[in-house]
Amino acid sequence: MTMLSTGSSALLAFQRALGTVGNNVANAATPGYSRQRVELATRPGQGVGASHIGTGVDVAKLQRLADSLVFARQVDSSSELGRLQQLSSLSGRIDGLVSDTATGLSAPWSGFFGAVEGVVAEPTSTVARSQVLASAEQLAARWRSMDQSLAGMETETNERMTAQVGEANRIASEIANLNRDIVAAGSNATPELLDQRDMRVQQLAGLVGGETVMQGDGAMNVFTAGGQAMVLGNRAMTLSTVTDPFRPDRLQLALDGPNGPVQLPPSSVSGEVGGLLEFRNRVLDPARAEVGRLAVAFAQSFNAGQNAGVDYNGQPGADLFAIPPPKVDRHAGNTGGATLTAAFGDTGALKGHDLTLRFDGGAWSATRAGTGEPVAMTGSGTAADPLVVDGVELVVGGAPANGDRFSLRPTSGAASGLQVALTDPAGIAAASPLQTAADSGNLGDASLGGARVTDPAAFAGFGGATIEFIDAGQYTVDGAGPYPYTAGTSITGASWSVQLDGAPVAGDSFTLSPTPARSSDNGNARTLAGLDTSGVLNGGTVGLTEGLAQFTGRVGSDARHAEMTLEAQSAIDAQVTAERESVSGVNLDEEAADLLRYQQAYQAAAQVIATADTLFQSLLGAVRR
Amino acid sequence: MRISTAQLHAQGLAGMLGRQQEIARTQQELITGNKLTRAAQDPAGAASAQRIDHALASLEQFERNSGLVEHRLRLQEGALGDAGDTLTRARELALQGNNASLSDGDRTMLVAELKALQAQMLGVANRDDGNGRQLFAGSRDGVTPFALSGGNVSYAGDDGQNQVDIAPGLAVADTDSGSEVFLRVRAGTGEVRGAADPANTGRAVLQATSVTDSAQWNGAALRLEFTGPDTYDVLDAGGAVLSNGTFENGDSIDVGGVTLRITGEPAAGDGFDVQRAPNQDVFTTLQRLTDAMSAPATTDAERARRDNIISESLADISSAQDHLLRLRADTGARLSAVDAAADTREAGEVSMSDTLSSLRDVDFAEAASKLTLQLTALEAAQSTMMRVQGLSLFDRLR
Repeated sequence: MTMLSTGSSALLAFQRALGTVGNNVANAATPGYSRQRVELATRPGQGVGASHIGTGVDVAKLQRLADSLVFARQVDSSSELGRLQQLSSLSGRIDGLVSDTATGLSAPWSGFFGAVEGVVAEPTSTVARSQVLASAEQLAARWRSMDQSLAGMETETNERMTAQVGEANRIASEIANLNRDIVAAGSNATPELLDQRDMRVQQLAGLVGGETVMQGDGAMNVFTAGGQAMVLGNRAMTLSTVTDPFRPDRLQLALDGPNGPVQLPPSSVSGEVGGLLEFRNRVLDPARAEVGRLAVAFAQSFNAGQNAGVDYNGQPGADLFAIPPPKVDRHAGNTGGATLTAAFGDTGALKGHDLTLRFDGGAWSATRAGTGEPVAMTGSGTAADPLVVDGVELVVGGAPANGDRFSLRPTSGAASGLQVALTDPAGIAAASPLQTAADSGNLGDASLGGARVTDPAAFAGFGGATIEFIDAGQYTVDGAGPYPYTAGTSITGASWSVQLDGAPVAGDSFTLSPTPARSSDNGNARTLAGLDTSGVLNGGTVGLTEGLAQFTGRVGSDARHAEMTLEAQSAIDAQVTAERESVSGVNLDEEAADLLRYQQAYQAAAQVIATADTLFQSLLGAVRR
Repeated sequence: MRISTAQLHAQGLAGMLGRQQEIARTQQELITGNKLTRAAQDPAGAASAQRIDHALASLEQFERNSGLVEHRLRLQEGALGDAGDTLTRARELALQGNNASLSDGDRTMLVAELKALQAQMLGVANRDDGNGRQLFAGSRDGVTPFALSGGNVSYAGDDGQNQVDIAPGLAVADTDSGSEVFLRVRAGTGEVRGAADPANTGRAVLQATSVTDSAQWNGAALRLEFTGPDTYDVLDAGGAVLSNGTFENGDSIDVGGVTLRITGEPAAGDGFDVQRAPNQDVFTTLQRLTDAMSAPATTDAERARRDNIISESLADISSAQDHLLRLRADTGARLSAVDAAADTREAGEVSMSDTLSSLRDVDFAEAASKLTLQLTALEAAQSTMMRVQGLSLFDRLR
């Protein structure tokens, strides 16, 4: 009878094996499926006298082929891949925004300065002047739309983060449930449960990054890349978003604790959420600050240029652009009643970095918002002696309390408020404010040049002056003097300075007067047209065109860097996936071979039973005879 | 290493998708002709392309400016030529009028033509550039700069002269101001001017005054006064006698470095004043000549006075002609600077376009061959996929 039971044990075992092959084939394309294998083991033999006879085969266990080390690498790789995918796709969008000619600043920038140069050639032409206003409007609109697109990405970051945090919470709670089921099943946990859990852990790692630690009872604990627990046994922690204490329009990542949500530092997560936070801190914020800085520097220097000239109506030039002041936001937890009023100071000193200002022990200090690096600040905060930091002047109103914090965003968002303030083409200050004339009776060959206003405030009350030469070496100004004259030196008054070309003779006289209305002088227009290349940034060392080009370059290299790291990580991920597939993936040819093998074995086992039957029939026949 | 069927499939698929991505990029390059559509492709290159774009755009504006200023300078050149021609004609008329045998009727005709010349000169001075901008109004180019009233000219413009940028770092002066062209014109020889005293009663005519020794003459005013028909004193501005001498008709008299050539017979008390050449506008020059020619001259003294003024005017006119010629030469120099700037711009444009092209433009031959290669790779990926996927042991299980 052993033969029959041996045969039937084999039939059962190979049936199981064939079923497993079938299951593997069926799940060949199922994501997260780990192939299974039936482990066969011989049954213990029966003692027959001094020897043993085997009694067949048993299914020892159904093995799930998975490697926990490969799994850990997969988790790592997914979290890194998730982070870089976010970073690269969002950085790429900023790059597209900045470098595409349809959305970038380059074309309207050149258009504007071309229009100003047009006024240089035709200072009195209303067409040329209107062209400046129209192209200023285009430039300002392009600047605004660029900043608003960046602001839109900020909003999108908030929305994405909310959605991804929700998704992460859902997955974490599913993992916790799976942990519970797996622990309850003990050693009988089905491979399917384990596959499901592994897949979810990977998804969670792709969202917030993760590290796993196995518990003795089979539960898997999941921590974020920064060590924050997400799943502990059958308990899932809940992530949430809270508004930034400085600004209500920005969301920060938080973990729900017993005492309400606790804000998490950006470094505590990786994955897509980590990528979002990194994008916001490392790419978006600097880009917005730089777009704003360029807008502020441009508007400030152009306005200063306008103010130095005289418009077509003979009035001192008014601001062409309006730009909002730096943004100061108080921390939600401030206890003092202080308010800070910010204004732009020295354009050359403007850095644009977002800063945190803190009042402690009776003194103010400033640090970089992202890095905490201290920034030098001078002044006491009064109107006469404002706090000066990175080209921004701050006046403190009210009484601050120790520990009060303010966020200062000098230029971030400023470009959204860039407006053209002039509507009248006559308002463009093309003319220099000071004009000179030589008397028609002058006999010397001297002419006045290099007329310059040295003190604009005092010049406002200037009514004209006459320089008369008593002889070649002495002159009077409005009858006062005489003053000695040496060729090559300049002649200065209270608010002006001029230079003489050529030699004067006795009796030569020159008159200086404020430029009247309807002048076709283009002296100031030339200065304005040269502002695209004159150094106004970084302490006067970098011109605006250069600044714009550098900005494009930097945004481009940020995007390129993210793209290249993503490529590298994708290669690593492909490798890790290949490793996982090599252990756990189903190979249909292998299954086909197994199918053949087990089929043959099954047929053979059936044959054993048939043979046993034949033997038995033979025995019966022999006995009947 | 064990390979799973899914991985084999994924690998083949990833290969095909990757090739297709490359093909799409090459296709875009070929269609647009631009290989630098995003700064990420070449951050440093994109930054310099942006700088060069701006520089090229400003070259275009410089070219427009250059065209405008060239137009105005050409008009100025023409106007200066016309003003010079007017003076040449006035000089001819003055020479004709200097003839004692001329009848009063003939002289009236000359006067009529002189008046026409003056009006012509005013027309030249008030020319605009065809765009409504005056050529000779300084920085008041919206007003008509010159007006004549009773033979006196008034100037409504000013001394302003714009500089117009025509190439990077190069500016050229726009038209000269009217005061420079027509008003501040040195009379006499441009250096010294001799004039007969209008109260002279003799028949002496000062034919020419010139500086012969500039070291000796420092520009001080001097007076040559005849004490008799053939004797004279040289007086300084204060009336002190510096020297004296004798005179014969046609003599050149040297007074302190200045030589006066006088013809005719002076009367005692006749004087000739020498001074540093003052400024005299061209309209006044023409007006003085017209007035002198049209004044009736019946006595010798009146004739001498007329001849003296004509002689002075001849000097004034020729000095004004020199002045206009000098301005014309200067205008020509500026026009050639404008031409040279065009070459500078051209050269800059060529080199910048070259750089830009190497940064941004697609090399079509290279891109086309790259496309061929990529298409071959895609075909290979596809057929590999088909071959690999087509082989399954299950197919053999019959």
